Amino acid sequence: MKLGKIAAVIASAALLTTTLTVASPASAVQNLVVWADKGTIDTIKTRVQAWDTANADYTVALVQKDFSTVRDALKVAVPKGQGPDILAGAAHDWVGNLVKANVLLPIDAQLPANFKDDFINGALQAMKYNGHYYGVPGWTENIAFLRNVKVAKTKVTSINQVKNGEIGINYSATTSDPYHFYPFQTMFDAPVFTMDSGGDWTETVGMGGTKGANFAKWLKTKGTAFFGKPADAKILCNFLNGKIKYWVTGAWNINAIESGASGCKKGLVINSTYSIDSFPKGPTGITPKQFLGIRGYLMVASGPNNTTNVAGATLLMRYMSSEATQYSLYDNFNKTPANKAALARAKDNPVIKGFADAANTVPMPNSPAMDAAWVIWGKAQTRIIQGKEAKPDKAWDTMTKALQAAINKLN
Amino acid sequence: MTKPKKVKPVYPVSVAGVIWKIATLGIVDAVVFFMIMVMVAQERITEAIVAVIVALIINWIYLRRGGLPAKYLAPGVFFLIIFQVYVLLFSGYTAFTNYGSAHNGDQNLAIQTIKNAAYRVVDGGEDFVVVAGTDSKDGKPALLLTSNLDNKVYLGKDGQQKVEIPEGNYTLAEGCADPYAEDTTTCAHAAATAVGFTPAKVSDLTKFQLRKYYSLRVVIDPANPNLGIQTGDLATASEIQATLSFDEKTKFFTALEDDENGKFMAGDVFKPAENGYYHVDGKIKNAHLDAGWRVEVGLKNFETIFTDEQLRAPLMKVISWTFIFAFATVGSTFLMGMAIAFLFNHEKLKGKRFYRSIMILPYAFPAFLSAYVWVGLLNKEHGFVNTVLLGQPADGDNNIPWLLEEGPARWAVLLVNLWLGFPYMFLIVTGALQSIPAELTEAARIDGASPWQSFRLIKMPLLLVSIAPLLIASFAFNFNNFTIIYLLTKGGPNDSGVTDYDVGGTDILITFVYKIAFSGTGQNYGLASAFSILIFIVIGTLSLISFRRTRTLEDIN
Repeated sequence: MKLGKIAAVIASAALLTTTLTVASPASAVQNLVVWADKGTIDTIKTRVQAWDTANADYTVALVQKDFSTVRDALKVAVPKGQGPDILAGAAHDWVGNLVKANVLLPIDAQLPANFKDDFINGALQAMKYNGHYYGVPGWTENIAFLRNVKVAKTKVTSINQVKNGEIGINYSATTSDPYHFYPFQTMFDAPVFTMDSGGDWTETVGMGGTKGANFAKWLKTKGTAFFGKPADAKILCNFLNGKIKYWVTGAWNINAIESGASGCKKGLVINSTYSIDSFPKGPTGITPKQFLGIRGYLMVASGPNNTTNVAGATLLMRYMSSEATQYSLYDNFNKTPANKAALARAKDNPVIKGFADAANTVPMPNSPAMDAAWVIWGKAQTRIIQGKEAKPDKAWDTMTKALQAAINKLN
Repeated sequence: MTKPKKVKPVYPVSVAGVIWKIATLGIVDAVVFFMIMVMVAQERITEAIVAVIVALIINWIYLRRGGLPAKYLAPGVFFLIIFQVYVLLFSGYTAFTNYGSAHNGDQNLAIQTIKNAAYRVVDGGEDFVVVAGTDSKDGKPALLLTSNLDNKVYLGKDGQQKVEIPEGNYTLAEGCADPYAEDTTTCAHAAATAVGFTPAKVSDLTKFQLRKYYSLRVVIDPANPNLGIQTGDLATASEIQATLSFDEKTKFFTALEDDENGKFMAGDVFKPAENGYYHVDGKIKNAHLDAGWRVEVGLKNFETIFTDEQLRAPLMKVISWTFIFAFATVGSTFLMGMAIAFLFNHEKLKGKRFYRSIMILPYAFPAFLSAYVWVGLLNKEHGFVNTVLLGQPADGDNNIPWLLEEGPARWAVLLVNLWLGFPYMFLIVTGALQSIPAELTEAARIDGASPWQSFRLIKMPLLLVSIAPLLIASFAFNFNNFTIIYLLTKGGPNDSGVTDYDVGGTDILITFVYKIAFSGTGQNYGLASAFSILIFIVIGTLSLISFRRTRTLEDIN
């Protein structure tokens, strides 16, 4: 009886071994694993497949991950050696945080000397952290000052010419949206962080002091009368109907503007009924800046053994950053190319041209400090706008100090 | 007195039972065998040994005769250890580490990360096109380099100076020198192979071989061994200056250059410090390298909880709200459930079953679903509560900002939790009421007790005997009721002044801990684990005290 049992165990074990050996033959084709969110996969799939077909040595597996949790997934996977080779569609402001978590691999050695000249100003630098490049840019996003031409015939040049109730801006009642308010903040020369002599962001908060205080006081004076209520669901409708003249937003709302919305007017037509303008100058004549957001492709370090397929991943990344690919992504998916040559060709599209010409951008900082800033920064901002702070300059000062403390704690 | 003779119990042996046993054990062993092979392949020997031991114990338990209790208990104990004991021990251990976003992984991972970035590309340095292969003489990995500067061709080997290959000894490739070139008609060509060099097909190289190529450094100037030609992708190579050197024996890094921000100087030695970073001389006050790893930090996380100024105000607020939330929920659901139970317990009421079934419905729907429905109902602009129940116009200015401001959000959370929780209380009170003998209340009535007296002095004490433990359990459950808070408000609204912790108006301890662990300014699993230990202590103590108290209730009986 006992013998039988043992035999059964051995037999089942032996069966398993044979299946295993058969299942893993040595293959000459190398596998590249790319993680991306759904939107990115839809965008890049065709081009990645084209590369896959053209390169017989490699096969690419696109793995779908949730945009909001892909960073956490990466931080868990990499130390176990289960990470992908490339993280595609990554927002460039993730870079610092991911580098600190030991999950990215520098690619400087693979980049040609003047590679950054292939891209619009700041696009490749946005992938740089602590002196190393960790990825290549894919496409860019920035906001502009949209104008309903029917109710506002001419472009405004100064924010002083804009009256209460004329602007639409999307922000939350609890955390504001410092990204959309950044142009207004830079009208007071109060950048989020200071920059070093080389034009790289530091981790020192730069929006404190008198300039920040001036902005805070201005925000309080303008308040919701000027910027509208938080979380206003009717901005699109009001803009289409001409109830508000200007809308602070990005290319992601263009489809909605041109196709119209149910319950209000039908869509607007670029240049004849709406126009994409640059931001007006500040109350004291300072030209404002917008954040440039870059979505790109990052090289992932696959754990302690460095099993990343650098050779294949570099080839694919260079292909995705090329003029041909970026023009194709623009052509099919309206993604504004980061590649200069592709952008020049894409400018026959008035929307792309509009946002590119309206841009006076600075790449959003990509340090972990930026990650830490959003909530603290926005909380103070929205309280001031909604008139919840009696002394806005003091509240702003408290916020900058708390933010600096939070940043120092990261190191 | 004679001792009873020990009789070995004899169990009937059925053929089907034995076959069944063999088959099940066989499957278990096969799975374990598979796991062990995977573990060994991944060089995780400790885990493999544990798996072997566990498998042997399981086999011993079921193959031996007798020991019947163990046969019943083994699966339960096994899963208890995996899913409870291990998890508890792990988060207990994590509380004493700095595990988190900036200390992700072990020291080897950090070392690898530092090594990966311990170079800089020389400004204006020479670029090369690369073919990877081997030296035909000794079979060692070698690179065939074609300069982009002057098209000269070199053979490069690790740690050796590059050797120029005279024209005629190499053949040019048909394809472009630049592997990324888009125009293939006018491009320059590079050497594809040469005498004394065997090119390799990159896609045929194993990961181990690839690693050798990535770390291969061709010396340019013997006087400066830290300057070299290196390739990252086996297609192009650049002049690279190493910025740190690593000693495999001591595991120290040494700076080869001054830091461009002046944080450290050439020659500074980085040693592992107890905070999980490489610091100059291992001293925490000195500069450190960016990559950190997980280390044990003793009681530091607990220290942070009790001493961090930024944490104090939000923490006090969260703790007080957690108690308010838990007490208010238990109180309101119990009162409402009991009231309805008494109402529907009335002898003369018709259609009791129907009413009772209706009352249980909120409990029957999954809480996830109900919570999401409530989020919609409580919407400020178009929600049912504002527009229909309170008769406000859609998008009106005076609509109550349920879920958007702290005060209303707290009431909303309590109301929704009352809706979700009262049917449970209703059920158990109804059940308990049935078990109170009718003679007792009848006797009270005859003795001239008013209905209120009979409720307060007879029914209530008897009810509490059986229900008090459930109230305590309900308190403990609601103290940690993550689901309802997270689904309704995500702990928000987040507008309560300024602190560098992400904390909202309806955050209870467990959602606050979740935010520390998984969101906001970088994850901090260590701190979150420390918090969860404290929560455990709080709930444990409260439950212990309450259960002691309920014993006095039993004495009444």
